[in-house]
Amino acid sequence: MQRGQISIDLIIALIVVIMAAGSMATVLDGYRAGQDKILLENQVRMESLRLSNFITASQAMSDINFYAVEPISKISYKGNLFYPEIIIRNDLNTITVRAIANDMNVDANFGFSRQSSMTPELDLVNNFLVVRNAR
Amino acid sequence: MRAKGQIFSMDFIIAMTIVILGVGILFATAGIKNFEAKETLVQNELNEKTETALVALMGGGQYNCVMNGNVLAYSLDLSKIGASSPPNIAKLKSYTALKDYNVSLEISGSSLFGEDLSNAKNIVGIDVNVLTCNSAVTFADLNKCLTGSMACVLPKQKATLRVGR
Repeated sequence: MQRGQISIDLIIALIVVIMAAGSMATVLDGYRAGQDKILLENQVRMESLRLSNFITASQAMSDINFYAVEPISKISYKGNLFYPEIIIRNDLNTITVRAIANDMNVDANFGFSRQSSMTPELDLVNNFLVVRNAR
Repeated sequence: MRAKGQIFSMDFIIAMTIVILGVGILFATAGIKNFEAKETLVQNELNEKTETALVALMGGGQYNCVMNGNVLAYSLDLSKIGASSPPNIAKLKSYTALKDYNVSLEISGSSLFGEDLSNAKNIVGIDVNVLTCNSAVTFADLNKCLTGSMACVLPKQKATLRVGR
């Protein structure tokens, strides 16, 4: 071994450490992306469930005229807050909540039940779900 | 001890094994936590669905007792649920937004109708006290029940709604 010479052990150790750190970073990135997606999916699913339940539960007041509003919650994704897209199909009695984030598109669909006199609709100005009942 | 041509020392191999084991345990724990969170989510979803179905069932008017022309909340007209034989489960499930779930309804322990819940991974059951009747009733009928008359046609019973998926 000469003075100033780098040993093969050191080089191998450095290569192994760099490779290990690189693979760990890749695994963690994948894990974090997976967690972000799960978080987004859960929020969209819970919002869809909440709004569909609101319409179904409104039936308990169906013997009177009413106008019920429920605020639509914002979705949080990677530090950004935004309103999801809501699609109400009164012919199928389904509500779809869709979040379009910069790199993915997540949908959640739930069924609701309603009386024929009840009309669920969206107030996009105030971001409310509105259920009207006219007997 | 170093032998000629030896690349890895025993210490290094042991250290790497411990590191890999540690990372493995970390990811396994995270996986278990994820699974638990998902299970909780499914359970909460089922809870909310069942509660909402119960609200619709108890106050929606379709299956409630009618008292002097008014819907009596938290009552069940058993003749409406069991009007068709066998009971129209599909109609009731559609009414309570439970089309995609298996549902059973019991009154004081006896099954009014029931789908098979044995294969369901998650089941939620909610008990609620209801007044039951078999036809339209009047205020006088309710008054008889409130005063403890023997001729009560609106007995209070425990309804159990079970929802599984």
